[in-house]
Amino acid sequence: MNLGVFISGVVIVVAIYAIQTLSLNLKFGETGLIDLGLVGYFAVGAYAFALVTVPPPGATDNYAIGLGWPLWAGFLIAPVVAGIFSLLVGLPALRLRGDYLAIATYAFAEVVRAIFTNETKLANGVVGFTNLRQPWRDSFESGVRYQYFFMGLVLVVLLLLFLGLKRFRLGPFGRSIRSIRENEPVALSVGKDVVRMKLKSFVLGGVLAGLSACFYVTFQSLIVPRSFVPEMTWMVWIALTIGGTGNYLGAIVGTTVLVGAQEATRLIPSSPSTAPAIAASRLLIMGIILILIIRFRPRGILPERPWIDRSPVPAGGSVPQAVPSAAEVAEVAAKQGRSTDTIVD
Amino acid sequence: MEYLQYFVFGLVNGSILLLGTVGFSMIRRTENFLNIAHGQYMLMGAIFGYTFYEPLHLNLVVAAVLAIVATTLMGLAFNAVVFRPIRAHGGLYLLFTSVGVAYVIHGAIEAIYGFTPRAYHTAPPAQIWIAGYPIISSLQILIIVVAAASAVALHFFLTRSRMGMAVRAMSSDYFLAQVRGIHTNRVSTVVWIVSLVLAALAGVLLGIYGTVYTDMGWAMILLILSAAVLGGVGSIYGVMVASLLMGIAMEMSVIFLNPAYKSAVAFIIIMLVLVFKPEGILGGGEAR
Repeated sequence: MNLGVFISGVVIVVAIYAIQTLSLNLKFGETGLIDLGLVGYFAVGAYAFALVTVPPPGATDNYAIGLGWPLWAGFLIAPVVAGIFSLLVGLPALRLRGDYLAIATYAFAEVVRAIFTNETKLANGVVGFTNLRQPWRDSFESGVRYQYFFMGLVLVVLLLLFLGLKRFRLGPFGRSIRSIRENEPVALSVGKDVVRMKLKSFVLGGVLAGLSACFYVTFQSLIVPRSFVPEMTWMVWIALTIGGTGNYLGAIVGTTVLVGAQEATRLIPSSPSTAPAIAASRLLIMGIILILIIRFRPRGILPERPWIDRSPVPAGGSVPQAVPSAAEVAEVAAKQGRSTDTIVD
Repeated sequence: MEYLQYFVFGLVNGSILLLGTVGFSMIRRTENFLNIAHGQYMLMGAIFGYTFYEPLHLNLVVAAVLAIVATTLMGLAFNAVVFRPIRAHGGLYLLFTSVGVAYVIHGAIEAIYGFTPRAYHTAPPAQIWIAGYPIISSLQILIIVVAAASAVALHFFLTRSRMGMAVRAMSSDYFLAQVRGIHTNRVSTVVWIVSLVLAALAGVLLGIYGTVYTDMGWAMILLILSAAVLGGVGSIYGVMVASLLMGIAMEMSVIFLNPAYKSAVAFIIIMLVLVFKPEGILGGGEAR
């Protein structure tokens, strides 16, 4: 086996999963939403991509719609559809808390899988779609070179998302959702629209899952409902727990460790008699890593760092220790030439 | 008459589900976490029972008892090594640890037994025929009776015995129970034993009634979660009723829905329950 091909394949899988882990970190790590239905948004995104890009059904095909649009349309539409689906799930489900939210989202994802499996008209049933097109595939003569190119493409997208989310984290939205995670009543009491913030975070997470699904589908070049089992959801959760909940870099590191360890088992030479044991060992590895990390490093490899205010302290001034009085606020506001409400906000 | 058959199927599946869900809910109440590994304990019971019955040719009852003992010991070992040390971290850490345990059990069983489904080759049970339809078999009656007997026994254990009362005290307030001199560790062990015995029993029954396949644990935990929500995650009696209803609803849905949607029916029910009546059908426990 060509080692370069193997490694680039692993990197692509890691990057695709890492996008999902980033999305979970937004939902759970930052907002505190326990969503066990990750695979549902992913599946919706994947099928949206497929239905937009596959050619219209021929005489022998069972599916009803295939738009046959260019791939870029799929990359645009699939995340949007996944986001809309997230919104539809989130509107009722986000009224629930903790365990109940977890179970409701888990249920949504299973219903999605049941529909894609059984509604042959919608999505070709258990057969799914094969031989899907890949972006810019024609520009490359060899499959190997194309795989390297694809790896670069996914990594660039991952990097952009990572930087974007990091930036987001420091902004008002990031601070608001973390305040919801830390103490929802307090967030509510200072006038944060908690429901709206949760929903935003939830939908944005869904959009990212849909984007990740586009790369998944194009890389695999096939799509079957069998792929969208709860195991995928657990993989992402385990990756985030290993890496460090609340830390975007940790999310990527955790995904690398988990997927890397699993893919490494493919290097073990296998015979038909040992193949099932090796396949099973991937589950064992996943379980053992998770148990050990929680036992000995419960906050993950890269724990979340507390947010520190790095804004420069004005010369001669001191950092206010207690809540400033209205007079102090007004004074500062006058100095900075702003009205008082913007400072209090 | 066909409808009656579906009803019986549903009742039997519901009975098995009841055995699984009751133990799950007890753990949820006293240990304060969703034990995702519970479905795998059922798989473990089924596969141990298979091992003792098929390759080792033991009597079915002996095999069942041995399977229950073996599963309980394994479960207690997991509890001591894995769950108890991180108890102080709280429910979410325990939940993810239980996911890890679920994968360890699932992976280990698949590594040893492979992916092939197994069956207990028991003698075909006698059927009771009504108006030309086989309505219920002796095996189905046995399963329903075992589940009912377990439910009644559990009821008397929880209401009449000192230990049962301690369990209830601990599930309503852990620290108060501790302050009042209840050995919370000992009670917790008893709850684990009850939960594991019931799970293993459900697993063995499932194995005899159907087949043993390695994804069984995951399929079961989904139904258990659904039944637990329907009944109100904490309430034992609500959960018993909910399991039966869920089993019956799933089988009866075949009348007007594609059978492939059987398990989706369970999830649609819980989605509706969560949206309209999040405290469960019989209330109980903290709402939402």
